Amino acid sequence: MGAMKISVSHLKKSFLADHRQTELFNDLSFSVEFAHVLALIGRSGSGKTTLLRLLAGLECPDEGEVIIDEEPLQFHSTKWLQHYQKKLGFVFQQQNLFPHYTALENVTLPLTLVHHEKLSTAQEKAAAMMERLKIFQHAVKKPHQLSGGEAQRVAIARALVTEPRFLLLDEPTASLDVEMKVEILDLIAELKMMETPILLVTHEMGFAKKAADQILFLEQGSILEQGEASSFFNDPQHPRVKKFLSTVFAY
Amino acid sequence: MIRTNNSPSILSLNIFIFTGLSLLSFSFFFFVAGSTHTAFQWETIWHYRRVFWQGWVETILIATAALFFSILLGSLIVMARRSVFWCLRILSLTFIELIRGTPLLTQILFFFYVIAHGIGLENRLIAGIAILSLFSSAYLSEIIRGGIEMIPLAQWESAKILGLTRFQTYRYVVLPQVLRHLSPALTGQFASLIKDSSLLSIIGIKEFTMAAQQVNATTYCTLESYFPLACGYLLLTLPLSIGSRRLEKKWAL
Repeated sequence: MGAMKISVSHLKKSFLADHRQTELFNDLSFSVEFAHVLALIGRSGSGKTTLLRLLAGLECPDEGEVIIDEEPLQFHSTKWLQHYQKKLGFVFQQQNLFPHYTALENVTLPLTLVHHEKLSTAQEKAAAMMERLKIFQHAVKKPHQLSGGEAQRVAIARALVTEPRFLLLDEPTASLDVEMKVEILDLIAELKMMETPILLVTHEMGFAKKAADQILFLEQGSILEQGEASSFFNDPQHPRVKKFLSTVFAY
Repeated sequence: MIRTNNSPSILSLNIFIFTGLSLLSFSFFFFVAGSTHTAFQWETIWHYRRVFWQGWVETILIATAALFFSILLGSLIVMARRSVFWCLRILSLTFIELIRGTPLLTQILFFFYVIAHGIGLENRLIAGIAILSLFSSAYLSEIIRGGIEMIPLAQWESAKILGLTRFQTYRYVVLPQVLRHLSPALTGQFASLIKDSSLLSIIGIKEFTMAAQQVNATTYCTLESYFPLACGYLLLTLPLSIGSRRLEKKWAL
């Protein structure tokens, strides 16, 4: 599989909020290539989640182009999007497991329904993935019987079980308490060893510093700084990024 | 969840209240029955058991058919209500408001004497099933729509990002949850449908209520004619409620 290339050019996106059209991205352009983990960081409301959702085809830009692995995203073709989305894994901020299925059924579902695998094969694969993410002991539990961290693991297993081209994580630790946060962050750091490139939105600067190899810093809808994680954290160039980092690492 | 307290004192209190209320209801019933100063003629009614039976079967037939068609039609109306075409949304809303805003009796009379006659539909049974289906579908569609809108957006997105088609999303994600949440409301609607079918006697359909009316008119045994009627309807609606409660338990999270 190897490195993943994302190129965004002249992206415009606005939202209707409180009956007012609010512009989030006005002519956003950047290009990035990464092999393991790309962390998308910035203040709340800077557009990180929206950018991630655009990359996943969950939002449609007003203007502009997104190219992933040399292929432009066809936002207006439902069929193309469906095909594209089959090839990616996405984990939401709040675990979106289906509440009426067990953990194992949740992980098996995309294999049987979307990838048309036989139930027995699908269950084997799902069990193996859950085993790998150390969550198989909860296979027969329903989502409401799982802790936040366990449910998030199941969600990650569901996203990974189809062997996606890349994995998108939208603040996967936002709704978790400290202990579970660490557990999930450890897991993501472990996943780094896999072949699947990971793109994640996070507020955990310490984690980004440790696990990411590329950083995109977003503020008010534009990229203020991007680059290797080491140089980003040790030698930030932009004064606003410097201020941000000094604030978050103050304690 | 209602907590049950099984301590001995509460149990005896329960038994006391239950027995007291039962005794009270029975004595009230016998008091009312006694004050009519008529001797019950159950044997007269027994002669007409075939009439009751035929009416009851007819009611089951009408209710089952109307149930089937109202689910079908109700689902179509939900689709129209959630459609991207505003003309479909307005049409379906108008239909729902018209049906929910007017009495069923008026609808039956209007449909049978104006529309059915207009299009040359003379079969009372089919006309009756049609009007009941239309009536029930308006209520069902709003129940179903409420259930569908209860599913959080996040789950639709999860289904989408996993690559499920729209049909798969409805079939495997939305409907199982909607049915579970709505089974009490749906059961209520189905029970209403069974009881509402009694109004079809007005256009001369020989269903259960019509049968009781006929027996009453022939024998003048009013109470004896209507008592089996109540039992006959209960015999249909009770299993429905029990079944729904079982399903609720089975599907509980």
